[in-house]
Amino acid sequence: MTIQTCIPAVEIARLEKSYGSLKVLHDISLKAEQGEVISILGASGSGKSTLLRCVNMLEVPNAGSVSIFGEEYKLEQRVDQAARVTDRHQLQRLRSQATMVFQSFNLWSHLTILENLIEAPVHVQHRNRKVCIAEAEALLERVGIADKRNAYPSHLSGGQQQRAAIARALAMHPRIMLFDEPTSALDPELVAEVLKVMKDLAAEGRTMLVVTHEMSFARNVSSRVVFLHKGYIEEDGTPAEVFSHPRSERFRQFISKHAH
Amino acid sequence: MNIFDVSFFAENFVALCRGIPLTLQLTLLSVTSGAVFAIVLASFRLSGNQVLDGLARGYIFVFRGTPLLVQLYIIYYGLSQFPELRKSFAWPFLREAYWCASLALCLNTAAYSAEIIRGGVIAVPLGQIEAAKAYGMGGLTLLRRIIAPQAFRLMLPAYSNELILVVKSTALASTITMMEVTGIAAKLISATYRPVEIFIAAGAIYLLLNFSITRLLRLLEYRLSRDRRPHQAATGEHA
Amino acid sequence: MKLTLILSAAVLAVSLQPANAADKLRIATEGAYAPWNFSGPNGTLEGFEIDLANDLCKRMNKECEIVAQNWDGIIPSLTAGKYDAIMAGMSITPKREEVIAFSKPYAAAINSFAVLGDGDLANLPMAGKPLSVDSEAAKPVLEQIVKLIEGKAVGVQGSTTASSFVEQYLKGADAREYKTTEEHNLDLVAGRLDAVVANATVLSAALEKEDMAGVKLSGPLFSGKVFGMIGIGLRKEDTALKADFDKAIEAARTDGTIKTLSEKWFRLDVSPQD
Repeated sequence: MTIQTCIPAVEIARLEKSYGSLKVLHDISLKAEQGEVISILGASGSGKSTLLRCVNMLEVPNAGSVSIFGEEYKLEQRVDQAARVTDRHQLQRLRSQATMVFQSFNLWSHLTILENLIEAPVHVQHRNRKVCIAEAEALLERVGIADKRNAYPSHLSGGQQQRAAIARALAMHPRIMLFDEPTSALDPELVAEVLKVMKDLAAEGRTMLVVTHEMSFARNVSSRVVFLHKGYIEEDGTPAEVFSHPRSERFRQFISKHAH
Repeated sequence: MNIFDVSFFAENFVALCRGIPLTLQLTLLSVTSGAVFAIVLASFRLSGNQVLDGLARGYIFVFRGTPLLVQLYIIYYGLSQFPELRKSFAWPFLREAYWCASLALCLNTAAYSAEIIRGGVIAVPLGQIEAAKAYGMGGLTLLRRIIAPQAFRLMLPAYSNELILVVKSTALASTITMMEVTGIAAKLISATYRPVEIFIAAGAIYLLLNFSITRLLRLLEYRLSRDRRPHQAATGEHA
Repeated sequence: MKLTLILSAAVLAVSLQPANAADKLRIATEGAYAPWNFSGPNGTLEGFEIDLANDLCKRMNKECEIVAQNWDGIIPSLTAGKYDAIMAGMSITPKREEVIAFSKPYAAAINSFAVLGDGDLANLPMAGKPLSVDSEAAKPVLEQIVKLIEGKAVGVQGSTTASSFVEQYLKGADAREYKTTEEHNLDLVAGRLDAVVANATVLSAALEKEDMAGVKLSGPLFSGKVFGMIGIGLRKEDTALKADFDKAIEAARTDGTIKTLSEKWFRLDVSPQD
């Protein structure tokens, strides 16, 4: 049960997204309250990544609205044309409040790990460089790769790179974090180190939207689970509710397939 | 008369060295102005605007598809046929072989460099650009901080090739009375009828110039690729 | 020069046919150096040297055949025996004399300035008058010209006697070398050059073209050692033939035939002076 006393961190209302004639998201409405950790599950092609990317406008929805802490993205949506963002300053502001962690890390390969962490804080948020460096060092310490501060991304293992990428997201002081299959590109033995970092973040009460295949994370860490199928939300509830009493037959199949 | 006379070679080598400043000036002038123009052309190509893209494509097609010598002659001998041009503001420049040669070399290298720059930009991994956007970067910041540094490094090998070609192309300036290394060589040959030593000396000068340029660029490439070397080498200097 | 020798030997080796079975004399020309020698509208060879060759043959009482030959191979083919003489506006130079012999000169190489009619150099002294740069009389005239031409852009064709002349006699000028006379003529018309120096016969032929309107000859018609003399190229061993040609040329010079032909083709007298 949630109490509607504060503004929701993310509010998605009647969102639709299509690529040409192919509609990938149908009439999606979803609210993430502050501090909620929502796992978004679904088979590949269900539209879960697209939904997440609509939250920071890496994909622009063709219809419907997205708000971050009550501020709605200003969009131009026309039936016959590609939708686009109209206010670039607002876009940049909202994006730095809801930062994304990618499946393939996407660290900037020409910068050291430390430089990766301070890049956006210094050049987008225009914060003091010295302060940013001190913070970045603390973050690297926290995700366990302080010794890699002067290394380049290509010198790190996948797990280390993803931890660096999470630290890069945290360096922005985001109020919301978006994770797009953060462990899918990792070797199985490296998954745990990344999940541990994510679990710690969840415990701090940060708002997180996580697209994942990790059932243990969805079950044990998240406060809410959303299941997408073919662009529709088919399940939405606490892990306890949806895992013990799935309403959708497809979700039941999905769990049994991923339970091993 | 010997087949190859060493002292004659040495004497002419020194004489040819007097052409090096002009050869370098022509190279430097055309490379810098050509690079600026190439950036404009490459941004037209990448703009997504069909008109600008078409313009740049047409330009590149023409200047890559015709011999530099023909371009040089059109600029030097062709343009001067129009009395209107001879009365225009451009004539004080186009009157001089020096500026005509620089202009032809600039326009030519711009066409090649534009494609090299475009290739470099395209090769920057899309995921890294997307990450930058997701972190609030846009427009110039994205270009300056993420795309340009990576594109520059990616295009460096192809661009060093282009630089070497420009150095060699300056030899064509001798056909429009410029006394750079090749111009001096041609004059010495007509005075002595001994092409072997003189052309070999001229060749050696171009080789030396290009050798230095290649070394400099390789050093630059090395500095910019610390992330591609093992971690240890990244911290120390192994020049 | 070594190269020429090697080439001659090579040509000789592969083409040891006898030059001419009968007593016919074969004379080579280039056929592309108007108005000295060139192919006329119906393909026959014409020009000053064709007329002169026919006149000389008549004087020597020989039957002649005139053939066209590319400039590049014109000396090797002579030494290889493909023909017996060259009359192709060829200057007598020490380099060439290492390989072949020359008759006595039948023409002087006359050089002149061409300038823009409205330019600073339009009225150089001694316009249209012959002047040997080796003579005493040339000194004051050259001094005057040197003063006028100081710092002016002067175009010449590279590796020609004109470029040697500018280098030796007009040191203060801003000399620029071109591959062809057409190119320096274009730059003269364009205003990049203040004057050009070239063979007067070639210049006056060029001046008849429409594009060259406004350009005229200026100053004296120069001759002298630096420009050299034009002679008939012969094999070194053909001493008897050389003697015949020398005699015929001397006769054609003294009776005014060379002068007449020269004025017909060049509108100026190129006959050699003593």
